[in-house]
Amino acid sequence: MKELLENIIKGIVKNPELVKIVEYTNDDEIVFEIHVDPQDVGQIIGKDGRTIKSINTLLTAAKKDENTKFLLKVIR
Amino acid sequence: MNIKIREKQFEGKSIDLAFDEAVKYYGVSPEEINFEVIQQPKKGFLGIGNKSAIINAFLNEKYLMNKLNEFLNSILEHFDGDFNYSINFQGKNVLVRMEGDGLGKLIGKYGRTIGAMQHILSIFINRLSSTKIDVNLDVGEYRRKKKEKIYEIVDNAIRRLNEETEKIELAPMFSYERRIVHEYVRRQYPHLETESIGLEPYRKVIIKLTKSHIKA
Repeated sequence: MKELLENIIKGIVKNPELVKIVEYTNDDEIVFEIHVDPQDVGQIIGKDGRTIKSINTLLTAAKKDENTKFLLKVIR
Repeated sequence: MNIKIREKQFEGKSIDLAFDEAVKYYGVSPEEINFEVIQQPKKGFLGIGNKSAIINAFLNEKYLMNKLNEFLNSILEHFDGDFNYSINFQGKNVLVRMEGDGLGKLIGKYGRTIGAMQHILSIFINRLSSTKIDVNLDVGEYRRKKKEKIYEIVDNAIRRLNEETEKIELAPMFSYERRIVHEYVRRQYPHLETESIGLEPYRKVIIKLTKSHIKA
């Protein structure tokens, strides 16, 4: 899943080489901390959070285990 | 109109050599580059009056197509199922069609996953190109069937329009569905007007008789 997330994010930012993703589990949630170049933060979140929601939708659609939930955190 | 990405001029003793410079600069395969000749090379006498070749090169839609293909592949390999897809460029529109087994997950509830995928592909491709490009994604003809369903809803609603009922509100729809309604009414019922009202996610279309029509 982390790889999928990384592929998507690297595809839509200006500076893919500055993308770093940290994954950890919190209870029944998988949390992804997304670190990107500050000028790419807006691009990832999108208008009204549409882009980050779309990314979450894709992750959720691709997951193998029905019960996993994803939380995406964009870190400035 | 042609898609021109990262336009830049290159110089060389001949057009071929200028083109080689462009290939080296972009680091892509030659068929992904198009160019226009700005200046033909000219040989002067004893090196006096020499003119080098200048070309205006840019990456073409083949480049975008290959990039999109690569990106889509890197996403789809994480989905279970056996799909294939086709990418078609028509001017500034890209149509991505997917077929195969296990498409349900790619469609999602109410087509939510298609919408998300289309949004991401659109951002991906518009980051590469300075010309605005529209991306349309159809999974297993879901979109086409959905469109027909919407046409049916609109036709039924319009039948209820009459002297007393001057406008009709449709149920809330996603933005791409609302666009289908607007386009369909404009095309099929030019004497009617459409408008979107309300806030997402409850935004909906109203269809109404135009003023000129009421007077007539």
